[in-house]
Amino acid sequence: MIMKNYLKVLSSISVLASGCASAQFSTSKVGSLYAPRRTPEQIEIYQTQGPKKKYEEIGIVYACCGHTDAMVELMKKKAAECGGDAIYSLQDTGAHSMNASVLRFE
Amino acid sequence: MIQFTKNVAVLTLFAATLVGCSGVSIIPFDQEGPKKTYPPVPASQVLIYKTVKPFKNYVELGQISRRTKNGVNMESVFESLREEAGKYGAEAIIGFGISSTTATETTMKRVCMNNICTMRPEMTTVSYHNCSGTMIRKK
Repeated sequence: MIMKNYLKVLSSISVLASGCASAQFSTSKVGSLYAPRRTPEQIEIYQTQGPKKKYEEIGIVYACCGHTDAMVELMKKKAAECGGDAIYSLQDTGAHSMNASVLRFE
Repeated sequence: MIQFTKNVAVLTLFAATLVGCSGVSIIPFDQEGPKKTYPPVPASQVLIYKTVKPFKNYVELGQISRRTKNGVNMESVFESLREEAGKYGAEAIIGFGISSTTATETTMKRVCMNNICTMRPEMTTVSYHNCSGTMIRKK
């Protein structure tokens, strides 16, 4: 019982810390699905130049309504879930939101 | 039944407010002349990219954008952009981006106390999101 309450408090704290941010992913090609192969921690970030290795853009990830670091973490998590290897060209959209393209290496 | 209908109406209104009223707008570039038209492309075949250019040689057909209020539903945005770009003859949308702004809007709210009702201004913060890209077609 105490453990349950402890977990509830912990999850509430993590929600507050992330500022209730959420992320969405949309594919570049309709109906294309990619198997996840990286953990969020393994997702690489590129900003001004793309990776040197060959890649394709599999979609766009959009995060909203949180602190920048929380939104980036969520974007990496979403990119990993959707089969991405990297996120590229992080754009601060304004109004506490960000977007980036999700890349998959060949 | 009446209560159920009311609930559905309130929920629909809430959902509409949340997603915001939106429409797709196109600014044609007329690179091959103002009278040039292109055969439509099925929406499911329209590609959307932010950093990649899917074709080496292409003609830019125009700028396409969709404005939403108080949040972005990416699936809905992509669906409507694909639909309209396809009708226009675009095979892809490149340079996709989102720009958001916030504004304070004043609305009048009815406030009642002791059976006396008055209208009071209420300030709310709203956000507008413009999702746009360039429509292209292979040359």
